[in-house]
Amino acid sequence: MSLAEHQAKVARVCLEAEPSELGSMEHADRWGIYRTMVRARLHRVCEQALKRTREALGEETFRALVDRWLATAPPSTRFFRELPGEFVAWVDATECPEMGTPMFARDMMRYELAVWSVKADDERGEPSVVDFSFEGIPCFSVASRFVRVAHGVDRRAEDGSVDAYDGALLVYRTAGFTAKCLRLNPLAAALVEELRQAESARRSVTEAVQRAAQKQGVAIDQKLIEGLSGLLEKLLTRGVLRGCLEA
Amino acid sequence: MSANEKKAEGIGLGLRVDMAARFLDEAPESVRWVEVHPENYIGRGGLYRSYLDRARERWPVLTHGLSTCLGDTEALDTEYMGQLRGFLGEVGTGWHSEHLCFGSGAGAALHDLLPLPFTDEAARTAADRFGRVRDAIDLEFAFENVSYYAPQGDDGLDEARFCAEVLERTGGKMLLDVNNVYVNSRNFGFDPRAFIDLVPPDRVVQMHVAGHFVRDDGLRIDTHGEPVCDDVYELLGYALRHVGPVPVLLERDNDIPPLEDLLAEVERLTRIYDDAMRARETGAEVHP
Repeated sequence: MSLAEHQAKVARVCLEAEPSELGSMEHADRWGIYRTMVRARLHRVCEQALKRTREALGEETFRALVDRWLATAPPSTRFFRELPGEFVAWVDATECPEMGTPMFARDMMRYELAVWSVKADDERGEPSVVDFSFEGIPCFSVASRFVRVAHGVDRRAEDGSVDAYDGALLVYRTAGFTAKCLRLNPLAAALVEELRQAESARRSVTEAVQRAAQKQGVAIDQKLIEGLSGLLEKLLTRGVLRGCLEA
Repeated sequence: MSANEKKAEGIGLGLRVDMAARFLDEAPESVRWVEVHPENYIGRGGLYRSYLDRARERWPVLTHGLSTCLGDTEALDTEYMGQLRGFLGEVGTGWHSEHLCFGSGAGAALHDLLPLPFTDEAARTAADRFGRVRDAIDLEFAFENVSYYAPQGDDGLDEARFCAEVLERTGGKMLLDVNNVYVNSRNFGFDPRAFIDLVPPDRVVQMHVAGHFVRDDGLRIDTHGEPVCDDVYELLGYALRHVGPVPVLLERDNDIPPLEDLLAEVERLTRIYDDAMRARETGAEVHP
């Protein structure tokens, strides 16, 4: 057996749900230690990042889900902190009936991943900005994530239940390196989504607002402008919206 | 002279997020340098980056990789090598080190250190990868001997011969992990001093010490989650007398205790280090 074949075999032994080759390995009990260590570490980081999702699904279900991920789409990232992201991407792309109970589990998982991710996002290399203006192109902090939700997973009742909430959550990192969240109603969500897209599409704030109003079928009237002003103030004072891109 | 320009010497501590806040606030003088894992900082901002920036202001930094295991048979990630080279330059490390093991298979990243068989193929693979990483980072490069639990050779000292073989093929340097030598010696029944005697002293640039866990069946597991045991302290003294003055890292990655406890270990390590250097200077017994 070549070295590459040996390494592939050990990887299978560590990651498969039922390690069929383990029993035939010389010193199987000792290789079993590696299986335990590898799996414990991979499980642990998913549990840390997705603590509330795990609570919602139940420990056993969550564990089975991670086991299935390891067996079918083994981790590829070298960065330990990115493992929960790979797991969530797999869950999102895979038929996972267990994610249907409770109904909010997928929203919770995406929200928790956003919280986990903004803490690590690298602010170095962010583009230079100037003061915010409606003519400028908006620029958001890289340490922020927009999550569409059908449930208000940022808040839980004492019994663990979560209310339905049609909107979005804007998760961001504070100056003190903690993650916080702004709830966005459907109109605010449409505005923020357009503003965030405006940065890469090189559209002005005004254009973004017009597109959001059109998509929502609302007029740009006094009421919308007042609401928009309040929203922008919140985004700017929290540093989620950094200003506008330098020309 | 900035911290970055100072040479790492004496006893260092691994910068870990669980202890970083207080450690950085107190900046204990007994700790002479810090070690970081590049994978924890490359492409990462926020709290980790702020801790690293503060540590760099105070101490020389050495780097120790986790994910470019030298026995891996998969293609070297050239994009990551570029990132790594940039990071090593940024922190101003005197050298970089990686593990003599494998950490991936069939495209999967296992996030653990798995033992290489002590074969010619493995030595060739590791030596080749070592050379390519060293070229990519354009910096002095060292490999670390790992602990292992599944037997890989006929006798325990095969590992020392394997390390010597890789050193011979690469002309590279070694990070001697004294705890790993001790753990392996107890698990596989060989004399840890005989292992150290087989290591060419002029090739060792750094040492590691750590605590390990003893299972009920006696098997020792390298957890970095317990205090350093007396036998490992003693073996460190022997290794330092054999090798000479190289920086020694206290590794503590799990169940990190209060800072006072870590600093007490640092102080004990400092005494052992100083005693060993005095013994070398005075010509006292080098191999007691």
